Amino acid sequence: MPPGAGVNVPNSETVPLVSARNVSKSYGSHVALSDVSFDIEPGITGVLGANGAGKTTILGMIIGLHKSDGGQLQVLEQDPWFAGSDVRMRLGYAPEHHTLPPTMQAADFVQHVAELHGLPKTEAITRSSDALWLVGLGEERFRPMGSMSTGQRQRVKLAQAIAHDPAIVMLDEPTDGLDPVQRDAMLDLIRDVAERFGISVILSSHLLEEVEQICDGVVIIGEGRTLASGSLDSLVNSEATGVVVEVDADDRAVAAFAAQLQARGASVTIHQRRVTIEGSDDSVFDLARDVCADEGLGIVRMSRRRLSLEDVFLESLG
Amino acid sequence: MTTPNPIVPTSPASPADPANPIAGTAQIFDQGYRRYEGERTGVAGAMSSLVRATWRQALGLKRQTRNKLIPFMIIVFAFVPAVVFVGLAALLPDDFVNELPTYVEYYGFVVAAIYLFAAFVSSAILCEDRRTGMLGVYLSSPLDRRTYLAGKAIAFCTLLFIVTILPILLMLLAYSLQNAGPDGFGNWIETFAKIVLSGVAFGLVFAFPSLAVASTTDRWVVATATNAAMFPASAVVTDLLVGEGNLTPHLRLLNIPGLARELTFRIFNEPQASLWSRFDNPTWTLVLAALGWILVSGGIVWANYRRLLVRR
Amino acid sequence: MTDLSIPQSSNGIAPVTASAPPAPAAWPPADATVVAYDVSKSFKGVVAVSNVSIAITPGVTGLLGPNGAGKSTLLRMLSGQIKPSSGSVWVAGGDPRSDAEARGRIGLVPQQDGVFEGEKAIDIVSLAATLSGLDQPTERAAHALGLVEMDPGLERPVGTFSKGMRQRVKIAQALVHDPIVLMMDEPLNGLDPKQRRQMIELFHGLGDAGKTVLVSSHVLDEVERFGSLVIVIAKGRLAAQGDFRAIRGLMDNQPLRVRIQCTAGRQLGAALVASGSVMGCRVDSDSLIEVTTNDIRQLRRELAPFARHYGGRLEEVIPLDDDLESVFRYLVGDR
Repeated sequence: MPPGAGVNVPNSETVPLVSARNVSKSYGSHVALSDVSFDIEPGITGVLGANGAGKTTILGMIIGLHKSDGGQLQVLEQDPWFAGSDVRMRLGYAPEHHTLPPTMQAADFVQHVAELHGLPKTEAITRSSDALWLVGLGEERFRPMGSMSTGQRQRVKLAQAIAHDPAIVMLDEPTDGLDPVQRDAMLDLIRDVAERFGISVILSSHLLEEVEQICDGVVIIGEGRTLASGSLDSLVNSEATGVVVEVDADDRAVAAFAAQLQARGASVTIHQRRVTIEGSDDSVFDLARDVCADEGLGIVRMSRRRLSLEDVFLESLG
Repeated sequence: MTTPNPIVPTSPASPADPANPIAGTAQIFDQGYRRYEGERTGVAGAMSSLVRATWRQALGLKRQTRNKLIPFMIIVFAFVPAVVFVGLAALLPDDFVNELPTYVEYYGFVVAAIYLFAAFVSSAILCEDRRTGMLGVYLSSPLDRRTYLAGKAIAFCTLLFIVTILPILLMLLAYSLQNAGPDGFGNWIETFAKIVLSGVAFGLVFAFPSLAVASTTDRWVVATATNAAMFPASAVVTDLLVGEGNLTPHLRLLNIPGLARELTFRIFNEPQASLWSRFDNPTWTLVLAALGWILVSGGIVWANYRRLLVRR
Repeated sequence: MTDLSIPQSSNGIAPVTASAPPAPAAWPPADATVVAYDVSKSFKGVVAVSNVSIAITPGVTGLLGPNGAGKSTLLRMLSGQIKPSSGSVWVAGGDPRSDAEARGRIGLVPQQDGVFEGEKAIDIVSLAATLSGLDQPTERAAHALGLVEMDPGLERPVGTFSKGMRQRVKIAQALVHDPIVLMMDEPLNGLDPKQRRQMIELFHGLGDAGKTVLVSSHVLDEVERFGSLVIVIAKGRLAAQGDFRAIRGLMDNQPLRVRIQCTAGRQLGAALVASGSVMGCRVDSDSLIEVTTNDIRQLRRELAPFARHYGGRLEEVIPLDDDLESVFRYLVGDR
């Protein structure tokens, strides 16, 4: 039996890729994690947390680098501490920092990492090249990595993480240092990896907009605990009701608009030029439409009220 | 090797279709990145890849020429005397061949090249990984700190054996071809074994202390310089302490180059010719001292890596 | 109208207005604190920045551009760290390279982390004060730390600080001599969402207090929150300066797209086409349409009355390309 054959990639939706139950960890008197529980399902999952909140610790545990003091952690149906090598063989990891061996060629580097994760040499050579083409570095793959730009390094980091075809790939700040166009290209690539090749992605990021843009699930860690976890939709759509309208008007007209709404019995809040009308009943949409029509106001933007991930995040931090 | 996966045409037209004579003559292949269903080699495969990558890293292989310069220069230094002796043996009359250095005496000519090589390579393979984030990459692969260090040690020792064994084997081979080698097959095998054994012993005594030094810093220049200074210093200082300071001669066991050379003399059972360090200890204490060096140095390496915070 | 100028560019971007370059009389604005006039810089023959003229006024301005477009080079010229190959820089009353007094009015927050890991925050900041030749450096340092909402009495060495706290120390260092202009290179990198929000509030506070705050960033959602003033550098040239919404308005050849969800979507779309406020309408379903328009204000005004006329419930109106991201992509030539 080849090593690693014991790791089953869960294909049924009932088994999460990663499942944490009441995981705790202390370093001496410092409590890094006090009680962390979450499930990571197939797809793209964003792991968020304030700096120093224990995010790094739990990610380290998933790849079997630290032993938990209590609770249960299962990755690909195994305990990563006791089956570290087997688990890591099916994981890909792209670190946050941009330093890569400067004298090594990208193709050799990716090949080496693929071999480390169990690919035979000939396969590793082919797949190194395929992965580098996939991330858009096909023509640059024989360059020493010391001569590469930040954008290229981020791509090499992604290529080395996926070259061995992991079940899960963990990406730490994969868009750090990228400009907006490069960032979108990287996010597209990550989505491609997840959707076309079925590799689940665990993404650690500080940019909530980006997590909101591509993630299916979210885990928020704070002060050593899970503050929130679940599908993105369930987090941002919980509880929020009503409608948000931004009108094409100056502050005075916005205030008048709000006053009109209130006169008709609506409960409203104003944030800059955005007016939020509370109400679980969809009649608030008609109310907004009618008042705008009556007042001759232009509608810049209008949508069902929805929490932003930032609202969820900041609220969960308390 | 992978084979291209043909995509079956959505509406395969029969080649006999008279309205479409070129149907069936073309295929579209699904190229590029794909899933991998094959076997995985496990920790053993990872170790073997690590060892090979470390060799390339130390020798600058698959890198630009300037990365190859230092290691290959040192290797050349280690081989030059052997080549010279072999040449002399071929040119000189037979009487003079006996005047050429013996196998064990060869270490005297190349000890500097060997410890320079140890100093340079040990720092190149340990310090660089910490600076370039490669250690983090290794530790998120099936390897862990233990298997990583084991792989590095294996790679390092095998590299050292290039300079501690190969030049002398080259001499043995050349002398033998000129009928100046050991007499008889039994003797030849015995000499061969002694060369390998002494090369291993010589290499190991240098290898571990230099790894220990390299494990304390992530700056390879510092590690190389410390190592390059440490080996001659250990000889000079112990000689002074024993010779001038009249301290116990057992202190010579701390003389790394001296200990290494003395081990080779004992293996070849030749009276030692060295002027600068005289060992009167029984052989078992020398072996014990060598083991001590290896264990203590290995312990230092492990202690340094066990607690090392790895940048990820 | 805002102070807005899109120069006639030869950087491959079609000029979006036919207006002439700013007239010398009106430019730079009287309250400008940072002015670069026709500044170029090349390194060993490789052009990094060419012919950039900008004027920055008090408040928060975002400096944007693709990697390698010359953003950092421009920032280093404005702060006097490097000398322009040609052209002139004027910051708060003088050339920061030759005029020490002018240089003293600039606070610079570099991207790299500091080196004094073992020192306390107050000591690092008072060292900066001493180096600027200030009297009572400790008091000044305490004041600067107060500005960034840090406790000057913290005993922990900076090495133990979180990234957000370190960033504050760096900003306090830059603020200690009470500069008029604060320049920051990617100050939000590595900060978590809460720290980002606090930092952006800090920028606003400084801008409201009359300082000129120039912040380079890659994260457009963040820059939108700095305020609406941006400078966009692309391919070594100035691509645009001003309120990004006004810049969007100048992009005439890029009609705006709006997605509208309305229970009477089909009729609403037809009516909008008939009234002439939209140029095109794509009907994705009975209730979901996407229109393109060159007259966004008329479209906005017509939405509510038209929807009501057809008895349709208006559920969603989403402009698809009026954000900073679209402006950025347009300006850097990735359309």
